[in-house]
Amino acid sequence: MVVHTFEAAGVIRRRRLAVAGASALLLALSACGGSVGGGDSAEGGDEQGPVKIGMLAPITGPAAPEGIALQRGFDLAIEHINDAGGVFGQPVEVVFIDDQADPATATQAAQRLVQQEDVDYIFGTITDDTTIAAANVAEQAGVPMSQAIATALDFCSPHFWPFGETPTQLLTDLVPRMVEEFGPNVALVGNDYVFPRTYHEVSRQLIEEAGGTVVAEEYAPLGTSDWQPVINRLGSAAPDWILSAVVGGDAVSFVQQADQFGLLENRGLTGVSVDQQFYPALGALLDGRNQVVRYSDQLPGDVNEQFVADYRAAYGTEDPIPGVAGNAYDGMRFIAEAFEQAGSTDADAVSAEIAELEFEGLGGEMTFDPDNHVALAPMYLTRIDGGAYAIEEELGVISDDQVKDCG
Amino acid sequence: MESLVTLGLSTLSLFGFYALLALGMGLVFGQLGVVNVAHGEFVMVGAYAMYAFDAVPFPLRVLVAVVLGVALSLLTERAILRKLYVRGMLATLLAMWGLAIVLRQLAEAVFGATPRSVASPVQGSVEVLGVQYPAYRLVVALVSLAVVAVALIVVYRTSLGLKLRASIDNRDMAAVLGIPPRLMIAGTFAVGTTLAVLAGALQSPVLGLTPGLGVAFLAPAFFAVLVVRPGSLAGPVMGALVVALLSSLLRRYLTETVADLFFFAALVVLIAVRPAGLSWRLPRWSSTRSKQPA
Amino acid sequence: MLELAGLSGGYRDARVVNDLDLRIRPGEVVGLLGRNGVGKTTLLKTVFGLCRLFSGEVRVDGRAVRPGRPELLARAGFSLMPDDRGVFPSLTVEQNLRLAARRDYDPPVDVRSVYPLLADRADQLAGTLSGGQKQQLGLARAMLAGSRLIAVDEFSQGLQPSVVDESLTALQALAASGVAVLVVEQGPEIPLRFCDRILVMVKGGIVLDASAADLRADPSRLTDLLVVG
Repeated sequence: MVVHTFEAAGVIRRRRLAVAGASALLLALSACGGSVGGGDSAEGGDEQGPVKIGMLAPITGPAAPEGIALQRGFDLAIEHINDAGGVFGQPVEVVFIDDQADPATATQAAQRLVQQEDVDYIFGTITDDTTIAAANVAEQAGVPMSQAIATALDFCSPHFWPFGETPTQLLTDLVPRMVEEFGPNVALVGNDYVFPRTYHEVSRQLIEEAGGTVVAEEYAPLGTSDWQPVINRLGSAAPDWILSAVVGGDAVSFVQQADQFGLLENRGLTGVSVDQQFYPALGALLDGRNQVVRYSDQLPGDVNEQFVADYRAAYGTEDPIPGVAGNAYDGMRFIAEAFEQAGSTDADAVSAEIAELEFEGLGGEMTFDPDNHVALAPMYLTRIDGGAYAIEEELGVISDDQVKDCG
Repeated sequence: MESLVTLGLSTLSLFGFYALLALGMGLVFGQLGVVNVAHGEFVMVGAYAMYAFDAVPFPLRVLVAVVLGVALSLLTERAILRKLYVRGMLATLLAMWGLAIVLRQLAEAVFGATPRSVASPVQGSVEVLGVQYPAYRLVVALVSLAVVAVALIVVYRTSLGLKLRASIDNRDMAAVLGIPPRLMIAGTFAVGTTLAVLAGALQSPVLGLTPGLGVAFLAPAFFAVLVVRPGSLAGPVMGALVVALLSSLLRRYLTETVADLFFFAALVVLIAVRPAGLSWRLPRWSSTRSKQPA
Repeated sequence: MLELAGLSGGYRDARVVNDLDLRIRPGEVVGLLGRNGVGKTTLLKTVFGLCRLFSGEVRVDGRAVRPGRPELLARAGFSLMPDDRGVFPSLTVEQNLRLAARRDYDPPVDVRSVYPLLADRADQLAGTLSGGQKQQLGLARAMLAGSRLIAVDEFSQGLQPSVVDESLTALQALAASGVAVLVVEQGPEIPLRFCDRILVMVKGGIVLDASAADLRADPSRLTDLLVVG
């Protein structure tokens, strides 16, 4: 089904041959909120060539765990879209490039996508610096773009539609609950780059609003393997709970060492470091802890069940499915729907549709705030239990009123 | 007092780790003239070996990792390095750099990019002079330093060590006295890199395992070899102590990011004021064939 | 005992020794002479596997030695002191000697009494010795290791005349016990006085192979080949 052609510049093209059956088409489209009438899309198909998506993901390098999850969710979305007849009645084409989590590589890759490959949309990257690098290229070329992982970007443009959760969405309900359950004294820890720092700016404000105090705040560079000094400082501040924005392999090192140093004894722990992708390594250390997510493989509903089954079958994994995979799956299907609705690949038309689209995602209805382009979808409070991020409560849509210039 | 004990303990645990790495790197550099930029990846191999053979009891698993390390390093020496010694240091450096990438991608292909972990065989903590410290860290620091001590005793107190040092001093002459050069080269590389594999295996319960985990360990090992007098095999161990002490001191009093900056700056300065820190001499075995007669 | 058959050797792409044949018998004391750059050092290094062997064979007792494996010749009881003496600078004098000693061979001369300096400075690092002292250490090692043949490049360099004499006496005693000795020298004086047989090399080949007694009677045959011009 999937044809890989390796080219000199490291570009992997994936073309999925459509197996379009009428039933599959109906099945997939019926799941979408504003589903398209067959007649409309057929008309569009007569005029429009196939939609071509440029996909950027760091499947090697320090952000590879997230990059691969992103790619997996995205690939499944493309497969499902094409199985259901594609967009404009033609299979969606994908040009994939590994950005290696490096901004220079991402810039080059994006340039290649818009200049040589002439893509209609760019999807991807993980780290915010690579996203900005690619988004700048996309903006200049007038090509719309989306990313899909939790983000603290303040970048915006008329054609930039990030699907990632914002710190506000992740923390608004989580922080007061943790203060209530564990106590007011909070230690903040993270890797030293933009996202964790922004995450903690938001968390500090929420902690203070909830009557808590930040008793320690520590950052260590990405790639830190020895967390003793940080753990010592956090421990001597005697927090009631720890909010961690330590990411990647560092998250595992940090939580493991914190446990070995006794820092987690009778203390709460939550934050990015308890996300699904760390569960296989941290297991029991995370069980019983709370986390707020937009996507969990435990979400109810047929569409998610199908997604989970396909994901597990395609990638042979029983581990919790990372949120970024769910976001990528929803995001790409959202975009395909917007293309269908717009009936053309024109960037302005597509962006106009994205701004207004109400899309039934894996966890509920997904829309964009038309002013600051924050993706809005229900958030869920989960309790981690033996690898299942079990839904404890639906928190509803959490708006984020950050001001961004998207005009 | 308490903070001093904490400082001492964290220095000790770093020292044990870095000493294994630096000793191995120093051996390989001294004997082969190879800057092993894949040293960190051998650490990664050791850590993943511990993850892969999860069912084997911990101490036995360390042994499995060591055997795997010996096999991998002999293969590396035989298949990659042997042909490249004559082409000089840059050729071997680039080859090892390539090997590092291959090992990382291999790990990613086999184990995936999701972080993994290894359960610690020793739970709980012990009290040292009033400070609670994880028992496993202490055990592993002591085991590491014991291995380093044994290695140094072998180097300085046995006839095998004497042959090794002779071979490092002047490989041609050692050969003329009956010390087989190829065996010394392959053996030293195997021991040096297996020390890194061992370090990775021992450290695995405190690390988050990712294919890229080794990258962070190249710099401290490299600096430990650089800061001390060249030629001496005990030197890198002293260098490891300097690096460990510097790192834990800076990180005791500064934030991690600033400490990191000062750490590398201090090491660069240290090497700059001690330019005798390293002579980039070519291995003699490789250079004789290219030298013209005087 | 040692036989070189059609030996050509040199460096990477430079052939220095050309198609050379030579036999050395046990107990023979051979002097190898020749001007600078004629290939004496290269010849020794080729024999001992330290230079590239282009063609030909090194045979010991009629059997060819595998090229590029210096340790094999060493194990057969052949020793070489190279022109740079090859001492191990970071090892002590005693350790240098220990590496040369053979379990199955006890030379008929005691090198520590031939070179008392080596006993006095047993614990000194060899790298800190003077040139002449290194020469003594190098010679001592060659005597310890060479149970069948001792090859010495630039025999007299840096040695005081009294030490030269002590060394020659020791080598003669070793030769008397059946060890072959091959010394390389620039000048003819010492070989004429001390050797049984003299070889002269010109441009990578042996041009004169005569008994020392004959040459002592008619030294001009020898000096003509050695004088520059």
